[in-house]
Amino acid sequence: MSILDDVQSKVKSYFNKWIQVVDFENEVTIEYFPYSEGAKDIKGHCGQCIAVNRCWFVDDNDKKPSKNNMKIVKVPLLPGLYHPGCHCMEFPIIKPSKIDITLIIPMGKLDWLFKDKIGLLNAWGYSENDRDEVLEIIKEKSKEAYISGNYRIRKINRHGANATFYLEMPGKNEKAGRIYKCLSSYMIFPNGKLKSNTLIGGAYENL
Amino acid sequence: MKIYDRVKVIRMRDEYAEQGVKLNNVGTIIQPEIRDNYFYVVFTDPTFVKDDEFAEILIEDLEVVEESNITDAQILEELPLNNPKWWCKVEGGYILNLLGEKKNKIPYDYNS
Repeated sequence: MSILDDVQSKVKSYFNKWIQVVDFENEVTIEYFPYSEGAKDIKGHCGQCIAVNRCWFVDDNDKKPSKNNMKIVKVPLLPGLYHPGCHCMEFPIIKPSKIDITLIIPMGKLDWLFKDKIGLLNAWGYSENDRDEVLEIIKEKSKEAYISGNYRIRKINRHGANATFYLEMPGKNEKAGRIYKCLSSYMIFPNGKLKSNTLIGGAYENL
Repeated sequence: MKIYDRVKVIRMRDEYAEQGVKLNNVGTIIQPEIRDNYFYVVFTDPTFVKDDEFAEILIEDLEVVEESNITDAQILEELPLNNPKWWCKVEGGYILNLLGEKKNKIPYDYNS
């Protein structure tokens, strides 16, 4: 291996297969929008590409936008990354660490979790008194899941890139020592932000 | 109609069926902003075995079955960049933002 190859290999390893999607012709993102227009395709940019603009993804199948998870009107005879005529480009970025990630979890999400999924939480040994603890665990596990690529893109639409994160929740009280595998749903927002859809989607396997 | 309201799908379209949604399914509005006249709705599995299902549903195809008691201040906290200009509520046939502005001119004609 030449010195140049060695350097290239180290650079590749440093970036560790993370990418940012960027459309240089479009500054509009899923969170910064011309509100009066709604979310229609604007300025010749499709809504799904706006949804992923400036977002960070693991450069792997099912973990980033692709022609499989984007459903876009075909424009024949035009080149493009995700669809014909697409302006998006993927750029390698340094693998993010936890400190780079911003979680957007308004308190309403926690209220809804303890209303809609209280049965599941009770089964894991948690009660209404454990709200803060549950939130902190989910925050920590969600960041870990994202940076370790333990997620998959479910769909990309005008509301964003919806990703399912795979979490492991520790049991509590009589369930202490047990680990429960569960799912959490986020919209991947620009520049390392994750906006919660549902803190816990469901349990997919008990260990 | 607003975030965390429980809503029923009262009209079907092919795009809903493609997302696994059926007529009369009841879900919860899970994101605050109305984009292109669509709310983002989650349908949960009561047995907690399956993951939540999500779908974009046009507001005219939804009916509120249980209102949440969320306040405007809490909705603002949920909106992207906490911007009150986002369309986020439907009241009396109008799409509204938190500044009280109306998106449509004719009530219940959400494209007017």
